Amino acid sequence: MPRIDLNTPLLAPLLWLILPLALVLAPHALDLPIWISLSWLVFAMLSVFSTQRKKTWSGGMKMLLSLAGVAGVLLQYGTVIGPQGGVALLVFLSGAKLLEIQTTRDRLGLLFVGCFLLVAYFLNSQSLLMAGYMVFAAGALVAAMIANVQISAQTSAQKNTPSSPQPSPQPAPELRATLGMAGRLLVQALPLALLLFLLFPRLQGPLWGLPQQGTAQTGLSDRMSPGDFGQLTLSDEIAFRVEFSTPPPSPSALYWRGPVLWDFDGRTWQTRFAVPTTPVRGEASGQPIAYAITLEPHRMRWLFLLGLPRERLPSLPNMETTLGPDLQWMSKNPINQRLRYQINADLDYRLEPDGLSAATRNRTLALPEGNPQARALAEQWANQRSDAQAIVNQALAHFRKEAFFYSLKPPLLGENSVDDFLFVSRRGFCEHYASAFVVLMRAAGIPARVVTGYQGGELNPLGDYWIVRQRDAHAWAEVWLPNLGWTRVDPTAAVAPNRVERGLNAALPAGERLAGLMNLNANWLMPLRQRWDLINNQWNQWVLGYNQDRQREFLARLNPFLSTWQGMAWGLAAAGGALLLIASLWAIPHLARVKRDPASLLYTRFCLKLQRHGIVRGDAEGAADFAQRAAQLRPDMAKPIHLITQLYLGLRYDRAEADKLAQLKQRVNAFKP
Amino acid sequence: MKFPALPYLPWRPPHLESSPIQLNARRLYILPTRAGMVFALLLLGLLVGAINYGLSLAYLFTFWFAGVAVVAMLHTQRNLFGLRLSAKASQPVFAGESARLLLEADNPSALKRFRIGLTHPSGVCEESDIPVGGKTDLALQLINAERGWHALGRFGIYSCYPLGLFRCWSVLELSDSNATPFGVLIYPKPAADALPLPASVGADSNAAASKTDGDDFTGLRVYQAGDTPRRIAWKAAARSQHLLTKQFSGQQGATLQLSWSQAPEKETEARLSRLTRWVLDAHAASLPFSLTLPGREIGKGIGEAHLRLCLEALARFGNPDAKN
Repeated sequence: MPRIDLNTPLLAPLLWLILPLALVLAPHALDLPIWISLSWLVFAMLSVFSTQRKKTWSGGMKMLLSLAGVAGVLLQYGTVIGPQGGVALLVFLSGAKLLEIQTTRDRLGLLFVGCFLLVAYFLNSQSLLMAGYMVFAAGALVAAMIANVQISAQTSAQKNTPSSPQPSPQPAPELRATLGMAGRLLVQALPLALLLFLLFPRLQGPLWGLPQQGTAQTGLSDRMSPGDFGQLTLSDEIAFRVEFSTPPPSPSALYWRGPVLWDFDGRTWQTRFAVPTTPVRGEASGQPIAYAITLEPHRMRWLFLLGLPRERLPSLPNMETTLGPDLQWMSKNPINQRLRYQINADLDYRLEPDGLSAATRNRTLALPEGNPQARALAEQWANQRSDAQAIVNQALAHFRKEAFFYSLKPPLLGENSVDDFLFVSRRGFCEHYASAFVVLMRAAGIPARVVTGYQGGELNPLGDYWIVRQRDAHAWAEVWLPNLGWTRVDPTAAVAPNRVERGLNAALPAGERLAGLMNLNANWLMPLRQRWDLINNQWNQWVLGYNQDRQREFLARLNPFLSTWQGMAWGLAAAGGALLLIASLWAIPHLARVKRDPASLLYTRFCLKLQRHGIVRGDAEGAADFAQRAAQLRPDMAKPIHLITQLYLGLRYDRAEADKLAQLKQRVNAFKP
Repeated sequence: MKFPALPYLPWRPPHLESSPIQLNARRLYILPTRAGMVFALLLLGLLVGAINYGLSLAYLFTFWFAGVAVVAMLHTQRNLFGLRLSAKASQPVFAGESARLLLEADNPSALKRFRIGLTHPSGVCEESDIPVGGKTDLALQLINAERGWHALGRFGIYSCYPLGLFRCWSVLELSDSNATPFGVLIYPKPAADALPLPASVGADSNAAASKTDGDDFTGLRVYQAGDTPRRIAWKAAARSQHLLTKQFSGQQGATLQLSWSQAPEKETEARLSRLTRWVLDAHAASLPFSLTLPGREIGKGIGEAHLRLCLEALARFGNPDAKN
């Protein structure tokens, strides 16, 4: 097998194509089926081999390959259009195209496809790191376009003049110069790009359907079985970030309310059918708070709340949301995009204090068969005390006094899961406690339900915002008490007070503390981690979250007029025009001026003065001859004419001396024919 | 590269200018190439995608690519701006040889110029780079150029560097310093087969007597049928492509008269080819000769200048658009 010489002129155009494309496609490879990435690599290698050996591939072969690609993508995705199938097919075909003999136009077309795929990657990830990587990929693409122009000159000239005796060898594009030019183009284009980014009027999408992305996300679910939350605590992923514009409540009051689970089947809690849509009946009783939540897309429908919203909920653009009577805020469609909303609320409130409807009461008292021990215990409490509040306290005291343990690794539970937990294993996580507590309450005749969401969060002091992660997921109970309404009771807090005071890790027994980054709370890495999250948060808020609202808000801060359509158009025109003007002025290359010595300039001025009086120096007339003639024509000025001419000739042809030059200047200035 | 003729504003047609000229903003046109249009469509598509999926980074990179294209436009114009062009004397050639019109491009700036080419309806040009502060000859190669004077006429100078998304160009018409339009003269193609030169005439009859034994060697001429083999200059013939016959003083006074009517061919171009061949042969043999064409007569002469005169006459024969 012949060795591949990467310096052959034939290979240079191909490499200028393969390498930038590979750079763009590398991140795609993580999301594409492996066969597509592999075939792209195989195509690239084959194209290098066949170019090296000057072989070509038959048209039928290429057709077959393309059809195979279409078929494969159809099998994989069921479609060849759209953000997933379309991108996959484009990647495959861009590889197959490498096998063809490429004209300049083909190569440029492939590079355009590269630009398209680069931008299309942001469907998968818009992280800060990826953006930085893509800047380099874009640079490589631009450099390849520059190289392509240089290469095109060689090949076309050779093609058009086959008879020319020796096509003069064109130098291959120099790597450094080409990359440098690409870098310069990118840097010079940046102000224009940023201007467009800020001022181009943002439309609130989508123009057509958003992709249904099936990727599984870690996060809360609409059902709760023993063991579910233990999984979540392993995830360091961010659920949402919160900025308080009022003083934030204490961490132990941060119960971010998510799905409310009404129905129990003996093992799993869920809401089997929709709660009747009645308006929220609540009374605020103090501690107003205002906060803004930036919710990461979680592909589910609920939105998180803290406290009782003060007025009507904010209407989110292009989203239909409903607030149920159980304070569960749901969107009509899954949340697939990062979302920011602002809430004014009261932290202390009473929900439905004036009584429950019969349906609600029955539903929140319903229990399936089983768990006889738990029932018996609850009935015993109910018989001892008539006051609901006292029963609740009795149950909490039970959890506190008996040997219950907070553990991420509870033993498996049998058929009567609540009995097993309460009387046998006594080890559990928040969902065990919440579930058991609600079952006990219902058995004792107190309406109760499970509420899931997040508890606590981590304050980032650098940006003064709270980060709520998946591991902060929590489940607690809500019981209905006369006059007080629905009241939050957190049985986990009775077992492991640290859970709500200081977070998950503090509550876990030493052997179970979580390893990894999340365990570094007291570590030297913490400031770095906080800074990184701050940067990410700013990135999310200001770059990724720069939507219509943000744009208006930002521009209005500069100038109210700018936040209107007309304002943006004018702003773009004015600032863009100014930028272009500056750039065009810069673009004029500095041309070397014809150097003229000062003596000649002075002498020319002298000639011009004479010319105004009709004494014109001929093109070929020497300075001395001209002086002679001029003196004859103007005998009155003969003396200065001769003097100036002598000085000039001396400076030009003898030796240039500064004092002579000054003298000449003075004479010419004083010369008035 | 060959493009359709580059356009210019109809109310500002290029006029004949004496070189050198400097390309300034008033002379330069710029428009997107076809690839540039496709790129614009691509950006539009990306923008629609960015709006639809609400992807901020897609906005940003789409705008960045657009900015790169706009900046590249300025670079394209910059690549031609300030170049000083002057026509350069082009050597006459014979038809069938490669005829090149040369333009000297002078780059008086501290900026290297890349991939500058010429366009012409009847020629092709290799794109060239022009170094900083240097000069490069841009050669326009005429395709299938026929006999006669080929004025350069209007030509375009263009560049698509750096991205190929825009083409900047200028349409010019240049004369050399004597205000004559710039161009190249193409001589007729010499006939391929070597017919002997026609017999010399004008040698008087008594010269024939002295012919036999003149002793003074005066030169060589192309062998003609009937020449005695003893007179053949074998050594000289080995260097030339013809058999050469030594001539001695006895033959002096004989003038080789090449004329239109002597050529055996009937067709005009063929006759011109034949005469061209004879003129070249006679010059190679250092024979003095005269040339008679219908309407043009060139007296007896010898040497480089004479040859040139004859070849020019042949080239311009019946070709009134000939300059000079």
